[in-house]
Amino acid sequence: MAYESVATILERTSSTTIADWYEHALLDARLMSVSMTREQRCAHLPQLFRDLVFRLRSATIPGTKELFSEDAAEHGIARRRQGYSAAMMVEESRILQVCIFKSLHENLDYIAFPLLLPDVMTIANEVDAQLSRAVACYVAESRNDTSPL
Amino acid sequence: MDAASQAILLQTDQILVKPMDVPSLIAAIKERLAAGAPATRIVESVATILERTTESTIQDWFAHVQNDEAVMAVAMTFDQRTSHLPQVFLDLVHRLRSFKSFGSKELVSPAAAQHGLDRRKQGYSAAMLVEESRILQVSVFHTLQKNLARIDFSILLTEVMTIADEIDSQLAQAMASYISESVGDSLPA
Repeated sequence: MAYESVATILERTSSTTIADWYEHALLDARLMSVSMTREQRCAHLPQLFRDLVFRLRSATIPGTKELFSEDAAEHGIARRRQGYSAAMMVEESRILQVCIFKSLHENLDYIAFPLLLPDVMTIANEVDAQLSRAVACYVAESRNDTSPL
Repeated sequence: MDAASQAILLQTDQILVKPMDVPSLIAAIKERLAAGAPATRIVESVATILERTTESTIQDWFAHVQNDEAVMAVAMTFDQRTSHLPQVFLDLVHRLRSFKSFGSKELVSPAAAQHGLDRRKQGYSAAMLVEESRILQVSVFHTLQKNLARIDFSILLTEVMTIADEIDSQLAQAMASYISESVGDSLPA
């Protein structure tokens, strides 16, 4: 059997994982309270997957915040303008993590186990690091408008 | 990576490097049979490890937080900073032992909601709340890496995923109450 790296699997499955994420988002009443097209809802995800793949292929130590994502910052600002609350951003990030893990589960047969655990930890850390960056910019943007947080 | 390799090696009797000749392989098997069963490896569930290491993981978390300028902008004692964590660990252990599926939001944590309210009153921003949650995840994973040799590999991935999901679920609940509190006060975001 030919093994693949987690990064390669994420690259290969990013479209289906995004579609799965969107299906989950559609079932979340709170997220759906902000009306958006599919493109608007998913616009940040392709770059997030590229960042994840880059992070997995770089030698960054899990837990570090070295990879600064300008796109995550822009995502936070965009969500503020689109009418999301910070809690909704956290929730869509949680759903993304669930969908990525589900995708890895479906591809377990192709993954070399010794690499799996560190990679899963890196994914969880990177998704949270991007959320942290996005929320920081969301909060900064909120100071420029009059809506509640 | 080293820790993962070490953990796998702990589950082996002997490493034979290819190419190897058949007589050497037979000799190795006979040697092992003659020596008898190897000492049993101590295996613990991830939940048990988290219970056992709660205090040291909280100390590790606090040390990481002290290096984070943004979070440290709000002055607090150790007790104020870490008061929510023992309950987070109890919730994590409960979730791990309840075998709920990923993405499940069934386990509602009143303590997580209270934590969001407390952080709002203590002067945290929403971004700081997210950052301390990220640091918690890192600290829990560090603990697991240090205990890899005691963990059953066949369930480790599922449990790591459950931990990540539960920590994010608690953050979502804390953030929701943080925001509900922010609507009622006049402090900036």
